[in-house]
Amino acid sequence: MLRLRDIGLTLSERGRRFRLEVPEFTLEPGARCVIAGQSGSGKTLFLEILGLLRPPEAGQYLLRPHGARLAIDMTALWQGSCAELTRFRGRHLGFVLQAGGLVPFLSVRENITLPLVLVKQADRTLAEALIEGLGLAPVATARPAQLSMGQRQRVAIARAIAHRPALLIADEPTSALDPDLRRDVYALLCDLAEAMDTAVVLSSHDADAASLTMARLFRTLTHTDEQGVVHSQLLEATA
Amino acid sequence: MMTSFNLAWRGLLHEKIYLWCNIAVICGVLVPLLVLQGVKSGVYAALMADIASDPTALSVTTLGDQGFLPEDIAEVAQWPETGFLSPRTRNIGNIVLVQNPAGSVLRDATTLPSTAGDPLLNGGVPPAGSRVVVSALLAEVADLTEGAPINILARSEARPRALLIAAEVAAILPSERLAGAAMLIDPTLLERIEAYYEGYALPDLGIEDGADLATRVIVHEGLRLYARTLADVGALERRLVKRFEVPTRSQAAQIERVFRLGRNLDLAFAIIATTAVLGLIAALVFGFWADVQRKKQMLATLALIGFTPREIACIPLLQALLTAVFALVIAFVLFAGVAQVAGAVFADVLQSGQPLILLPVTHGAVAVAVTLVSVAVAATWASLSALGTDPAIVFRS
Repeated sequence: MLRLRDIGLTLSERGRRFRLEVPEFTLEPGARCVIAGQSGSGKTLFLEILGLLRPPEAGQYLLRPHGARLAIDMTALWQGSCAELTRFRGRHLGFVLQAGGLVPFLSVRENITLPLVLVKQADRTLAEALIEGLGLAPVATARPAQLSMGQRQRVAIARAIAHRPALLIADEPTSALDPDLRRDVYALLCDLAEAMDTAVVLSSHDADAASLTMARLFRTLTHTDEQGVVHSQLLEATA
Repeated sequence: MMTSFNLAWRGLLHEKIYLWCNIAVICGVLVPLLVLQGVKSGVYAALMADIASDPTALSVTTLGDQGFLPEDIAEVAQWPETGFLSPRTRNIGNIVLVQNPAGSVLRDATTLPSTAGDPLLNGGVPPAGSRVVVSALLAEVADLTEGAPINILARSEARPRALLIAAEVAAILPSERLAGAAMLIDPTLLERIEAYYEGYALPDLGIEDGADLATRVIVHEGLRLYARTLADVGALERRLVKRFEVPTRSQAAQIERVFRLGRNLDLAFAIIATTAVLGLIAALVFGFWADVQRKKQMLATLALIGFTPREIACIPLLQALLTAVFALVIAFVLFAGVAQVAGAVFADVLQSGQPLILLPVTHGAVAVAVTLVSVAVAATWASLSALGTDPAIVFRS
């Protein structure tokens, strides 16, 4: 279970002030949602808050990891050490990046199992099943540079989910792919997330992604107040 | 940490061009410094070996007949600079005649008091009792061999009878250790020869007439004194002169000149090496830092998926140290090659077995330590830059 309530964060950069507000954001395990909106509307900032990369100024952020009875107050993690926060992120969150973000000198298999090494998870059954299931077995020993863009994104998805995270954050994972491949990647993400009870938050420029994934859609709505501050609210779009 | 090491190692091998560039930078500084230090050590070692090969280099000789009492001898023997000490007899007792009992020819021989530890013996058999050590020249002219009997003869016009001592040749010393027709004798035996010249009775040696030996006051006229090391020669001579106000002779000035040359060469090398190492650090600082900037996106991705800042910071540091290890191996191989070539080129002017380029193990160890520390220092900035990697940049780029 993922819940954010009354989240607020203000940024000031080169005289420009920007404020993101998230009144309510809830996602059940295995559910998925798409964050849509224009560039600069705060999508990435929201992902950073979700991904424990930036602390919110206010509000509540709860996440219940797999196997846990109670949800964890994610904002409290910022009070601890940076190493603990990083380890928590590595254990319970997964990330799929635009260009894959693979380690260039590791093989496909090593890239996929890297998070398992970090969380000291010896069981590689799921990782091997993902390699097999995603058709990556023939290229398991290849380096990322030897793969097509579609293959790289499949590797990135496998790496993001191989350690069964509670939340998978995908930042424009299909922006470098052609439309046919986009559909495949979306479908893959959805199937895997559902199978593993992993909540998926996917950011995209186009809202069509929501229809492709049959997911809930959240949009960023922006306006500028009289002081020149840009306000962006993340709200669920109604049908 | 093991994961950081694994990633550092794999990343290093993945980008071999950058690895070779950094190795070239390190070797470009290290090899010339090793050769320079090797030449300095080789030349200096040759000079020191030349001095050390002369056993008299350690000696401090008292000139003329002085008066050293037994307690003076005991005092000098306890000085920390003293390596070997034996009291000398008066000059009158320094010349004896020797003869091979099987032959009839008498030969003049100079005598020197000696016991175990005498540098002239070079660890060989010392004279003891009636066993004497003779020079190669004396052995040749008197037809003596090791273990052979030898007659020692002392004559004095004031004594009706000559002193004849039946002795044995314990060892023969080469001419570079004992020059001329000379003989090393147990000091006690030499004292008895001197007592003969002074008119004392030596009944056990067949000299019945003369004063009672028990009434003789022993005063040594000089010292056979050797310093413990070459570095002690000057200090020992100064101490001896200051304490007893006696004229002396030694090679202290020449030894000091070589030591001063060594110190000056060390200083010159230290200045060159310091400048070169600072230049190396400067070059590597920017090289390693640029490397981290180039890999910032990858490091941020690692941070995103769970690598702690410390683990991220370790990667450039470990890569720098691994690069240094590679560079050290290559540098020492190149150094060995240069040393071989230099040895062959200058073979004509070198003594047999004397290397032109010599790198003692301690100097090599210092070179390794300085290189590793310099590289670690140079990688610190890169490591700090990696430490501050913000994983969020993977979303914003």
